[in-house]
Amino acid sequence: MREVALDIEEGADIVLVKPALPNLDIVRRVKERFGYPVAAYQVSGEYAMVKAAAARGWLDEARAVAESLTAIRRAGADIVITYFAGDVARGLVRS
Amino acid sequence: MSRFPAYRPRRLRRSEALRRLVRETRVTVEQLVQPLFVVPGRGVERPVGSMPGIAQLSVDRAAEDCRRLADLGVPAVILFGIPEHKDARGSGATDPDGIIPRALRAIRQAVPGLLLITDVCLCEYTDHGHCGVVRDGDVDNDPTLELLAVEAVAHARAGADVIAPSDMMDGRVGAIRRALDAAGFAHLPRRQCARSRSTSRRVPTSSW
Repeated sequence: MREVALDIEEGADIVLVKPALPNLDIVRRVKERFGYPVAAYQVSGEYAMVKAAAARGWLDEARAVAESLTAIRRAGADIVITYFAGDVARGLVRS
Repeated sequence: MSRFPAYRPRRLRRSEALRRLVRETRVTVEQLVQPLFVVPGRGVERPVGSMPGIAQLSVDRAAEDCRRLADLGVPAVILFGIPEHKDARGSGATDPDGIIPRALRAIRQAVPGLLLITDVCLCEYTDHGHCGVVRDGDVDNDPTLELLAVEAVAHARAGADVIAPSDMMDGRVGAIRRALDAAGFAHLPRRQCARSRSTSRRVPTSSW
């Protein structure tokens, strides 16, 4: 939180939290404390985990992605950087 | 004191249409940014092994991909560059004709309305893989700031809409902001990155 405060002081316009999922509490606290636009990065490791599990039939990919993206948004992210952006746009992922 | 039976939550869960109507949190494509990895060459599409469906793309392919994404309604992409050559100072990062400036110009021309965000860091451009200049076995913070600032200005001149530094140098936000302002890009937003670098949720083949 101190680093975010410093970055805003130095002129940051948007704050990015990365990786998003293990830091949802940080997303929420940054949003509430600073009121700046918050971006969150759903990183490659999560993408790889979801893809690997889905390929084995252990996970419903669309539902898992929707659940994770919804959680990131609900934590307070205004913007989500995600490798699934194209899939969401194609309607493959429904929240 | 229960509000039941006057209040019955199941009433609002009866149909998908009702649930959609009262949903608090929505994920829509307007809020999403697609990352792209750009590599040298033409017609290159190099799949990332651990990320099925994701490939490193040459500038021409990246521009085509951006066209498709924009047509689907994706408002923005974030570009990560992988240079031709790596060296100790990461000079590919500050080259005004480096991989990211070339990609920015091509994508801007192909898809004028797409928001272009660029990753600013040195780790992809240094032969040792650190996010800055190394001296005496440690990343030397302040000289690195100058390089990051030059990199950010190069991106801005090539058409970047948002500068997103992912290095973790102290003072980088101020250094980049001052450099952008001095170069006449006072309007360009930049975003900073708060995160722990030590995470298991990272795939080595990706850019960070």
